[in-house]
Amino acid sequence: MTAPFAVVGAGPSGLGCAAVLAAEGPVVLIDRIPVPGGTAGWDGREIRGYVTTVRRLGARMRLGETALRWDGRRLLLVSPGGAGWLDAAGLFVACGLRPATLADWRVTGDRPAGVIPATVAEHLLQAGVRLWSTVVVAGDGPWAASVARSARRLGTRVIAVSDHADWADERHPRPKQWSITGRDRVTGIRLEGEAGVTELACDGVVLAGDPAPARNIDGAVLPGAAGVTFVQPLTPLDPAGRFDAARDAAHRWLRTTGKADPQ
Amino acid sequence: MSARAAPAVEVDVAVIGGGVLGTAVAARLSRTTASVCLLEAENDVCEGASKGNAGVAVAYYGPPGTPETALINASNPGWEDLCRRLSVPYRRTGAVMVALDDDEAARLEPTLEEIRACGVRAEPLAPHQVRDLEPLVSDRCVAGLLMPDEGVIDPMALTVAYASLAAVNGVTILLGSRVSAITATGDGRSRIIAGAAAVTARFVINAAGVSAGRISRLAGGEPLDYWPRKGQYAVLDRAFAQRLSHIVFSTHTAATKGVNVVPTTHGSALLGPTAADHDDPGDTSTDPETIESVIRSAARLVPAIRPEHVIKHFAANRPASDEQHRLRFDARTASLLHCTNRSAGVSISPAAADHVLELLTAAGLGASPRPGAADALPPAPRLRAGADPGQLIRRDPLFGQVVCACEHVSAAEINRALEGPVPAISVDGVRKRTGAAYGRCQGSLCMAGISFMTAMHTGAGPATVRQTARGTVGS
Repeated sequence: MTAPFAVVGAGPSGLGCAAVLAAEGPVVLIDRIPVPGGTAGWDGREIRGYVTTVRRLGARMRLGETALRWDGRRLLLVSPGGAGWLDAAGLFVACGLRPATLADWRVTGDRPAGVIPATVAEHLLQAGVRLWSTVVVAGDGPWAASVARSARRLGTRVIAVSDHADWADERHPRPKQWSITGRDRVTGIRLEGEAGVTELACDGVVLAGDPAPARNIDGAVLPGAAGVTFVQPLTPLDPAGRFDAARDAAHRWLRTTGKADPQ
Repeated sequence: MSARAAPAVEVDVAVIGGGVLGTAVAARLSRTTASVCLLEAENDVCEGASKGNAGVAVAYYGPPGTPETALINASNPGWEDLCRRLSVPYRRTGAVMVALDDDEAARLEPTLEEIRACGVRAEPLAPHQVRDLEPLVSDRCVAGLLMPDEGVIDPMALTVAYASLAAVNGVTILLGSRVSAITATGDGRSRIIAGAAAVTARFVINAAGVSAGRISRLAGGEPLDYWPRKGQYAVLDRAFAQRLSHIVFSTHTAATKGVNVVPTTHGSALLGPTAADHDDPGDTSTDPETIESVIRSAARLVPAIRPEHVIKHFAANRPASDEQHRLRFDARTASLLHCTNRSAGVSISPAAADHVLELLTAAGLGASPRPGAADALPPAPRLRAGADPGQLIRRDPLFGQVVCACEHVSAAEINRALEGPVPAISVDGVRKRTGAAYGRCQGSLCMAGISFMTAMHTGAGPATVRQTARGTVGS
């Protein structure tokens, strides 16, 4: 018996990884959401094709299960159905990207309500409710344009803090330093840049920039974690590009690290 | 539990302030025959200094011979038992105090003497012993002290647990009830107007923290001066911080106890605090220079700390006053009992609550232990702490539904926070009770889910769901 490769994240990257690894040995593809596709969605033609490919190569899918812990050779998985350790020849982390946090950007100032990550804004805007009258969308990440579009459709004025956004009513360049103002709810954002200080009044701030790898499996967070390969490139962002990049990464891994030791 | 639902309350004791001291007192009195009402200005308990502190249940705070030190000494041995009964995360980690040069080493000697004079254990350590205990401490370390009785606690869980025990035992908790007037009634009682509620009480406990001066003034008590002392903190990712096993204290100077590195019960670590007196209690802002200096000071002790390990900054105000510790009846208003502490509120809270009961008893409260009163809360297991998640999941499948992916907080824990005796009413209230959204992604992956769960329990919509006790997600 050979222990399988464990791939966490069944989005384009995880699927690309699995497509290569499954030709070399058993693969288990894990996702906390009960469908594959990740943020690319499950029903696109591309994703459906990747899923078919990966299944045909014999990869097993464990969907709706969350990976909590990696100890170098085993992965702890939980779901409402139970918990268990999965022996694995290696762990491939393909958990996608998340927007920069206030700390990532060294944003200081007050910490009022009304400052939220773009991933959260996307969910809330889906309810079709106008959340703000003027929102600052900060950053150029993959979420920025869609959040801005939804907000504007609901009658919200959108101010971009971005170096090249074309989706806002008003745009300001990325500052050197920024801080939030507001006690109960956010009332503004203060930008300090080369051109001086700009104070923008707003009743919402959406953090939509500088995608960072989402990592949340204990033992597989910091660079150099034993037995872990991170497959979370910051670019490209389109599903086909991510699938291909992940395949390349898996091929590279096979060339340099070799096949898994049989147990 | 809203103020509107309770227009008139008559009790033996009104406790003003839902921080760690106010809730501890309410919990203690709830186990007696006294009737008790807890008044809190904000919409949740634990919104002031108790929310923003380093989470150390200290064994030593000094100086020796003070009532405060006596309360710390009386509280410290009991943490394991209390936290087991209240299901509050606590670890007796011990602490190392680190001297990085000869000047600091010289200051360790008087500190060691003072610690021992307080009746607390401490041992001098050679540099190699410091680094054996805590390998990440700087190799510039020239001497150290081991303080084995120090520990870390979740101060928010502790405050909520005290409040929950009080609520379970029948204490009336009025949130969103800022005290606006306190008048003496003809029969020696006090009539308190708090939000929409009127509370008549024989005794008033002033546990209002930085607002304690205002409460004393309203009650016709002594003119007490309280002002906010702001502390700024940085939080380190637990992927890094789990490599620390002890609290790492910097060497004390005469002026300050300095910036420390404190592992938390969640596995992260807190760097801080700073201390800056100011005059605006509502100001909990951070600034880049101070946060940078906090990280730099911490990295002096533990050089492996890097700015990229920081997942969050925050600030809170502790109640500074000319009397660092004030636990006594007012000299003018006989029924007013002050109960405030500048920095060690968590650490004195169990014994301070006992002492408040003694003082009230001596003043004629006339309460006796109430048979059948709870002194424990139902266990609140946490997915991330469990050695065997399978056992929890068999009991409730929602323990296997992970909502906060970074901190591994399950839907079962979040539901419990939203349904408890003192329920969370905001995303931040869920965070305070469970640690959800407190990790490295700061809610990017889970805040939508927590918002929806909170909205469902509070009847709010996507725009009107509260993000904090004070503010909604949308406007």
